[in-house]
Amino acid sequence: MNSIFASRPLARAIRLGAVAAAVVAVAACDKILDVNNPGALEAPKLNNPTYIDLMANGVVGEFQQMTHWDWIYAAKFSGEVTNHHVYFEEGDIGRRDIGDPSSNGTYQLAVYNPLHRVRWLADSVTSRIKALEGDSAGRDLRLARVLAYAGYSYVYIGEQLCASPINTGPLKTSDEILAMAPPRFDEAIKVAAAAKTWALGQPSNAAMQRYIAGADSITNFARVGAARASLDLNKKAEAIAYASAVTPAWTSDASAATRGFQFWAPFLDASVNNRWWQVAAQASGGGSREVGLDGTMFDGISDPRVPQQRLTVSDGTNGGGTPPGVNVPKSSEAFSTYDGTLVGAEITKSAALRLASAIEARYILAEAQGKNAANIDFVNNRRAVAGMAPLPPTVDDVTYRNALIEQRARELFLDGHRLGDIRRYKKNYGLDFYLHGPYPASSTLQYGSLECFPLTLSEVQGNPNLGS
Amino acid sequence: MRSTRFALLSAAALAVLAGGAGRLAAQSVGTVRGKVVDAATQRPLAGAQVSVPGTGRGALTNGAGEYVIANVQAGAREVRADMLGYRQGQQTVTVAGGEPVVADFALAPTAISMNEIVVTGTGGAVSKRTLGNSITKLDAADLTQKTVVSNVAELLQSQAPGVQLLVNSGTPGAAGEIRVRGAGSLSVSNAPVIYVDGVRYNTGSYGQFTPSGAGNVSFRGQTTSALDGIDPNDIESIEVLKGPAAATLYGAEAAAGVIQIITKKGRAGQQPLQWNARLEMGGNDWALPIPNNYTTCDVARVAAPTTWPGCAGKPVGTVLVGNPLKDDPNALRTGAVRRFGLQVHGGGDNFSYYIAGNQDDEQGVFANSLQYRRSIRANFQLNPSDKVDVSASTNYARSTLRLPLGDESAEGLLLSAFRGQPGHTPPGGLAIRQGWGGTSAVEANQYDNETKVDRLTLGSTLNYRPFSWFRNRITLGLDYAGSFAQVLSPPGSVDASYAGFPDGLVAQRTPRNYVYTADYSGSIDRHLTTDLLATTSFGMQYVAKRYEMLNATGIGLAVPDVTLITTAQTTSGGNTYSENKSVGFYGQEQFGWKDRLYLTGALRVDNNSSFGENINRYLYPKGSLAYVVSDEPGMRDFFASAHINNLKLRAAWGRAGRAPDPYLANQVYTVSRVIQGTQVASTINVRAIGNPDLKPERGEEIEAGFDAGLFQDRLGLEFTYYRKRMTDVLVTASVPGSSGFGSSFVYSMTAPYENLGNTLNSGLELTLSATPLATRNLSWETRFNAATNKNRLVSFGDPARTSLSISGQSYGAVQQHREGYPLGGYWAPLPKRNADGSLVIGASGVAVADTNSYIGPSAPTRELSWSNTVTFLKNFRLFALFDYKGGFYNFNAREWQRCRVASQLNCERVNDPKNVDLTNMDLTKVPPKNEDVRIWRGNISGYWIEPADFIKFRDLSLSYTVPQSVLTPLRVRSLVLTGAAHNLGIVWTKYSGIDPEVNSYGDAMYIGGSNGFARADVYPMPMIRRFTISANVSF
Repeated sequence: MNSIFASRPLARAIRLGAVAAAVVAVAACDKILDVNNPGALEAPKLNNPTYIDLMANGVVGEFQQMTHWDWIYAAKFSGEVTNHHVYFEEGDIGRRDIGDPSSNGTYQLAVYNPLHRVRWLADSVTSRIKALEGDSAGRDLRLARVLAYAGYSYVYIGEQLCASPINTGPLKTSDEILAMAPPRFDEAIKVAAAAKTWALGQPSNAAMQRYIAGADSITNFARVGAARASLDLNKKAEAIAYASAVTPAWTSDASAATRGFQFWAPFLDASVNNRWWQVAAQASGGGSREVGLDGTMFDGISDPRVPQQRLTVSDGTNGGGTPPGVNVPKSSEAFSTYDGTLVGAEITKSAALRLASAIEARYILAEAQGKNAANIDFVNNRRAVAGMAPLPPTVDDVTYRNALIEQRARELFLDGHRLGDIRRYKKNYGLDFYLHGPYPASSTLQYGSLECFPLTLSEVQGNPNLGS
Repeated sequence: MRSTRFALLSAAALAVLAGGAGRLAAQSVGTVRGKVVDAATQRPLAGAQVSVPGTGRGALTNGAGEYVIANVQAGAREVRADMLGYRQGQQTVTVAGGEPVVADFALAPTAISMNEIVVTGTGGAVSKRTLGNSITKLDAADLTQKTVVSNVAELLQSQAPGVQLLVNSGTPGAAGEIRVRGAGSLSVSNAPVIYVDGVRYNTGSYGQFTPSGAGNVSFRGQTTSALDGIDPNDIESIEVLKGPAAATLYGAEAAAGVIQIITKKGRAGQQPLQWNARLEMGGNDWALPIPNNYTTCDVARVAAPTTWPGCAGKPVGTVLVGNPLKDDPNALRTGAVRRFGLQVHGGGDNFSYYIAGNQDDEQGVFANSLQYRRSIRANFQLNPSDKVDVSASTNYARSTLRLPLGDESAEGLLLSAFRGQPGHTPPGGLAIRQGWGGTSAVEANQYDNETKVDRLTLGSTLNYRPFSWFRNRITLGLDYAGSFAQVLSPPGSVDASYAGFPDGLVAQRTPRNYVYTADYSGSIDRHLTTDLLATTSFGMQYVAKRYEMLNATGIGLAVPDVTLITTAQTTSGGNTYSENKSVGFYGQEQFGWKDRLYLTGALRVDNNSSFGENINRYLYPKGSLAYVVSDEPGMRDFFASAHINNLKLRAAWGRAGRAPDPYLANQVYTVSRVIQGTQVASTINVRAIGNPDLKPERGEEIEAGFDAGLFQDRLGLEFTYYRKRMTDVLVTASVPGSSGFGSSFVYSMTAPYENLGNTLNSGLELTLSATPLATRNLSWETRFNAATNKNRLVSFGDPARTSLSISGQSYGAVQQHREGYPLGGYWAPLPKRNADGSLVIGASGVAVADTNSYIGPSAPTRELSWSNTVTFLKNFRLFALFDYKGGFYNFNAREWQRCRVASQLNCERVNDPKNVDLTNMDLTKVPPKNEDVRIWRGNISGYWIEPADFIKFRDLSLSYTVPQSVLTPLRVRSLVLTGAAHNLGIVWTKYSGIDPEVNSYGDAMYIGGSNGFARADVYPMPMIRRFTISANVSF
């Protein structure tokens, strides 16, 4: 019997094959455990300048997605709307009784985590753009945009959360967090200005004109945000400085064309739709939520800025039909579908949300500057929209302040301002606009005592700087 | 350089292989032939391995027990005959050229075999006597002859102590869950890894749509197992390495055990072509009692003839009885079982082959329940010299699986059957639903959920023994499974309507799963002294897995006959991809002293693509001691006087791991979208925070025991105690939102894992096998297996967490992981009682405790099995297997609903006149006669979590071997006729449901994240009875 290995050429071939296999094995060893993951990018791969657009878009996208969820629950918490959802977590948020720390999953997924997601991502992308572009980042409008959104994320966290860690660090107070916003706005304004200067030096064309307009828009967006943070911090001089710089400023002409600067978060029905649509417009149409205007503040007010519709049939679960009924909010002025009528237009899936505006800057001026003739005229102008009698020129300070607060509540209805506002009113003026006593959607439950959003249980348990 | 060692070892091995090839001089050769029979009964033994050691020559006996080994080198040669369950036969013959020499063997049955050859992960097979750990080897070839099994999991059922098969459903094709020595992982699979002829085998799901209606609802229900791709009739033996102490050399994925499947092969040696044909016919039927539905015609129902026409004119208190599964002729059937197999094996001087084709068709008891499998296996072996052998195996299987509309499905037929209300207007007013609670059999039978699977497994192993002291083995393999799954819900069909797509739906998936294996191992023997043998083993193993799936859905079908997705009104699609690679190296040193004392130490180092970037290697050591004390000369007299002829003491300690799932360690980003004006643009967003320190779970096990043969090995005893601790168990971590990586409603984050937990399994395993009778006309072999498992979660490793509810439970969160208790144990509220033990009664019935009480484990903690093989009148063989599982509970959620939900109240208990006053079913007005009725009617889930201990009559078969005198004139070598039945019935149980071992959630390994822990008996298919008659003929 002959062995196949008795063949010398075959034996030689096997030896050569073995050597070749060994060489291939050695060469391949570095790659032997490499795997593909086409569903995700690993962090090191972001160090690529071609991804800057996508990363900056990511910040804007996170912010857009945060706004509609956060505004809904901030509105419920601050009493702008009353929850009529049957799920207990929704009701607990509406009653301001979600525990501290909170294990309320709805709050965590809709408010706490989204706020920190956009904040972290904005700061992270800021660092990446600076690292990738070096000095040229200082005139990159994408960086300005990201910085502005970063500033707003700190404003929202500072206004809404009682206290919070940043990046799993130690606990910071609301004021400490709010104080982290203006530097980001300042840098955004600086970078946008440099970007505009650079663009003005380029040959003019439509794209460059859009770029310049974008720089102006980001600048004003940052100015309003900085003014808002400064007002919250009771730094009125800074607030006045930022708000005064917003252009085009609000004018008393009520036409849409002259409402001045506005900055929107757009939504699109088929892609990323506005969650408010499901909460409000579908209240009696099979949606999962039923909300109504809080009776204490706005019910029955004849003001097109707070449009609403009273349900005349029961919503099946939590009232409606018979008094007190349920009032469904329509598009307020902060929604692109606002039509300026009392009944108002429906909030649609594609309704854009107004993030900042010249009229907000004007309200900041009116509050920071206090009573003066121009501000009294401004308040009277807004009161006229609601058919209210004007304040006399001799109005006292308290009446002026209260009138201003009321007009602001109507003007900025459902656009994420109310919770920060009532916290500021209580802190700075000793005014309590929180709702107390029996909770309208229940025959037994009372409003809770929280005045701002608490930490989440996972934050307390998972943050090594807080302890459990 | 993660794998430099791998490259060096491979190079060294291949260089040795290339350089060491020797030559064989042509020599004078002869032939050895003979017959192998059972020494007691003289029954021919088919499949015995006869070999001439040192020559590479051997043969398998045919159905008549005959063998031929050609080309044996001339001279005095030892011939051995081996067969599982028998003592090895040996004799020396003188081979000369020309006339064949005859070597017949009469093998004596043995209850225990110290010298059994097993696979342990080192180069070449090793003798069981050298191992310090227990290893169970099953004679699959024998089991498939005397039982009627459909898949590998059933082969394992009640055969190996410590190996637990949690069956979930009697639906053909539904997967069971295999656990070895208990569950230790909370988040990754608790299933053992499986190798087929050394090639890693995918055992995941085939990617079918779960039978939950309308296809895209796939979060629960029965799954399938890719393990079903192997035809049990192609398997020679199965070996089970039960834990880290035994499976250390398999590294980072072996902590839950390793199962080696060895398929049938030919044996080299000139021998005639042998044909073996198998024909099996039979059926599947529902053998367990089917509970009736009851309606009590109370005052209200008698007064509502429109709603309750069956009560119209009946006296108050009349009880109507119905049973739609029995009453509706469209409901149940006896499903056909048809199996055909043709095997060819033989060999020549330097080669052998085994080629088999099998067709297994099995229908379930529902009209649209079936599993078809056609497979072809071709195993070739080439023995070019005494030093080299090469084997190649190919298995291709094409399976078709149809799952019925059942199990955990809102429109499932069993749910509908057990919610039926006799005398009630049919649901929807449809006559075909008369007696049903919802879906009728006619409607359910239209359900079309089909998965076609192509499975190809290729493997090749090269064994090279350049010297008698140096052995090398290289295995390369590929296991591929590609499926096409489709669920079709025509417009207006019941499942489409339920799922909210009344215009119909068609959904498809095409999952493809690839597993690549490369394995090298080498062993070197050195005699350090005359009595001391050192065996050095070393090797590497590389496994790469890739999974890809495309899926598409079309909603809105214009007409039932046009079902292409592209024709649907709305279409959507997506794809999934994952990949994992692992590499491991090991070295082992074993010292054997005087062939009776063995000391083994080993170390394995692993790396895996799913480890965190800070983890580059993970070490797994092991040590074991085996002492065949009965071979000690000074003690032989003592053991002889005690009738102990073999006694091995053994102890082993070792570690093995369980790797995280792919990508969990990585911080990753994903692409999403943002609205810019009226346009959609792409974004990059965070997806997972990852954990750079993520490492495998670590299993550490100590086991000790003994193997003993008594009374001339007619009584065998194997006993093992084990204690397996899993540390670094993967637990989802709390993600502080301020990290920026918390989930939101819009952006779902992959949960980060940390190595925190700690679990413990301990238990005893005992196998007692005996041959109490062994005469020519009557022999009796009996085998008794017993195993216990104490399972508990020691710690989450997270002070903030004391319990974790099991995901995926749809009928109340009655299962939890809790520190100090079994994983997935039942926790539920019980009725609130007064100090005197009486029930606390509130306005709405029995008050329920405010807190959950611990009720018991959800997996068996005690298992016993008893099998008997009686051979009588030489040619008859009777086999019977009983098994017991106990110490666990099941949630009888079906009765919980039937007795409680006001719209049903159709269970027997609340309609029995001895329990309740039937004039009015309102308990608040008429107190029940039996206080328990208050509990039955209350929403007290804890009450329905019942002890599920049972004894089942699992298998019965009678075989008749047709005498050779009849067959020889027909030129037939052997013919065996068998009648067999599986799942004959429940002998005894504590459980009040239909079947105590079923689970509606199925093998939900990753579905809903329950990791297989979620268990409830809601509306699953009970185990169905299978009965066949078969003929097995050899030519």
